[in-house]
Amino acid sequence: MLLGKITIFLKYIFCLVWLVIAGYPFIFVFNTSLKERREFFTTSVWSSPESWQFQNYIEAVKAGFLRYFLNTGFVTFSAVILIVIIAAMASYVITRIEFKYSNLVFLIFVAGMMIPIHSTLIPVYRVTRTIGLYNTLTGLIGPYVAFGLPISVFILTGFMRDIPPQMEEAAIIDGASKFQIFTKIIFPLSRPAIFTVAIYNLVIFWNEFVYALILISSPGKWNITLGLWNFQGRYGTNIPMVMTGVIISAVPVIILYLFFQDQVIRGMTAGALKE
Amino acid sequence: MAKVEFNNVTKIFDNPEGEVVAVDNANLHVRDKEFLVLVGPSGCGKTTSLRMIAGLEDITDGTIEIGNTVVNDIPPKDRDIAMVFQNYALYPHMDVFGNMAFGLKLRKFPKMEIEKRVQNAAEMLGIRNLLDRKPKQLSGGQRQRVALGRAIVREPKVFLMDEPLSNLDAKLRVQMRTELSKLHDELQTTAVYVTHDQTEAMTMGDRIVVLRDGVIQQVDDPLSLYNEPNNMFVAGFIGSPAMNFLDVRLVKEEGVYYFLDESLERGMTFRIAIPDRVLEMVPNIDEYLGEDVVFGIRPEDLVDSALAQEFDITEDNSFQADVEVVEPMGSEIYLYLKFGENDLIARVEADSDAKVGDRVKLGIDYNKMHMFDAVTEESVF
Repeated sequence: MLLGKITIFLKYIFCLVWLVIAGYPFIFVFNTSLKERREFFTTSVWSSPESWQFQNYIEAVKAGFLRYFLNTGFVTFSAVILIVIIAAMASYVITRIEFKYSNLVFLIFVAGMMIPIHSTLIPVYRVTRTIGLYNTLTGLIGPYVAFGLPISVFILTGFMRDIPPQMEEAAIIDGASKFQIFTKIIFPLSRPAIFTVAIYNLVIFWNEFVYALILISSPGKWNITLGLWNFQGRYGTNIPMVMTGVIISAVPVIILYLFFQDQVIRGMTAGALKE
Repeated sequence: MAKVEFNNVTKIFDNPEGEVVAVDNANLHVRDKEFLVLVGPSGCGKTTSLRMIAGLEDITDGTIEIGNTVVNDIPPKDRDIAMVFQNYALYPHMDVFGNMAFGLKLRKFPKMEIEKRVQNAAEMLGIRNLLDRKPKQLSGGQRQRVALGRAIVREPKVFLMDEPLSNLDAKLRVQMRTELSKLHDELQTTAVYVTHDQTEAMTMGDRIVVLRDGVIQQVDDPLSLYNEPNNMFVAGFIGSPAMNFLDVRLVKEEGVYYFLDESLERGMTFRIAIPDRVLEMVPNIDEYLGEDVVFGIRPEDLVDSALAQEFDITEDNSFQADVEVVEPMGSEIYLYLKFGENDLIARVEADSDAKVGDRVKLGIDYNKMHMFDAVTEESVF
């Protein structure tokens, strides 16, 4: 009895410590973003702002952050939608349609996970230039999709393998074509895994930096990370301003995660637990 | 409504370990409106046969006809069949109405017609109040009904059912068994039903097909199958508890044929005479004279001699065995007996006072005994 209570108490302590470790940096960044530059240097870094002022946010927007936001949103959502469609179709074919080289196709997809991104920078840069997509937002989508596919196919095939084949056979007898089986049965049933894939890739593309750096040159096409990088250069000594940029770029992803965390966790653990 | 015909159908699976013959040269005729049950132990080819009718498995050799059309190359959706799966295979993301209407929607039926058919089927199955539920909100029995409903709304030529009751608990299974039979009477549609449960087969089938290792052993109505099995496999598979088999020798003494077991210890004998009227039906009986044969008797045809009324117990129709276990079932008693090296089961009347350790005398009903060829296992009578 007593032992049980102690265990629970220790668990709470552990959770609390973890919360502080994970949450404090975010609170620190937010706190600092509300301070003026002068205030940041004159008061303790731990102190709360003298008055809650959102001047930094207004300035950040004026400095073009809205533009970066839209650019990032366009590239990220386009890439995520394409990945979901392509990865789901590929996974369906790999897991559900028998053909000689299905294992090989799967292996080729998954092998993509082992390619370090930096080894592709120069080839991707040259290809993008050659096909005339250098310094365009569309030019970013291709490499993003290519790099998102391996893990997405890996997650989705794992999930789809667990969908009982009888479900598909019932649909065959009901008169569904292969494409209808995919759109009406397999795709809706894979929802948890699709959410996982979508959120996972979304976070990565939202924070993507290296490809954006080498494929985009004009400031009007910068994404958030490039904007932030530039911010850091321009406001090298204006720490609260940089922190404001960090908050602005992080908030959308955090909100999305809060909304869909159940789905993401279900997708991650799919197959591990029997429903 | 249609008949289904198997003409020399063979199915071979190409496994990495080699070829497996799942169905071997099967010839079968399912009559129009018939309820035909395929029964056999796991791996006997019954589900494969069903899946070949459905079009979910290719046919390696031979032809299958539905109606009078060879369907070998016709895709499942154009065969006009409906199938009920063992695990129901309901679509979890659709409600009951959606599940039942799915096939009709894909076939572009008018909305009114879909609504009418689904409502009718739901009414028939008593699930009208569940139409807006999702499968996971239903009990096993309700899911089973939805799966049936999905098949019924299509109004197919042939119903295919793959062990549809095996996931239900014992009580519900018995209930659904009668409901399925009633439903078949009402719909008058040809049905092919797969089960490994011989009770289901006996109670539901107009005719039963017994399969073993991909080979059809016998096709007959339930009672003929029970009373006149073709071979030892059918005799042992149909009926519960299973038929008793004894290895004996056929001998002739002073003009009378006997089943004789010579391997017994002193004090125990097995010497059962074969009456003339049985012998009349087996003109070639002398071929077996002096040979090893198998004697078969069903548990209920062994009678506790203390209670025998229907016939006289004599030295020629009885033997003694030791009681090892007594299982009172209420209306009757199962006696598990040891007889020499053999284990036997007798189903005797409830007033038998046989106890564990007793040596009881058992009478054999002459009219009910069977003889099988020891080598081919085929029935002689």
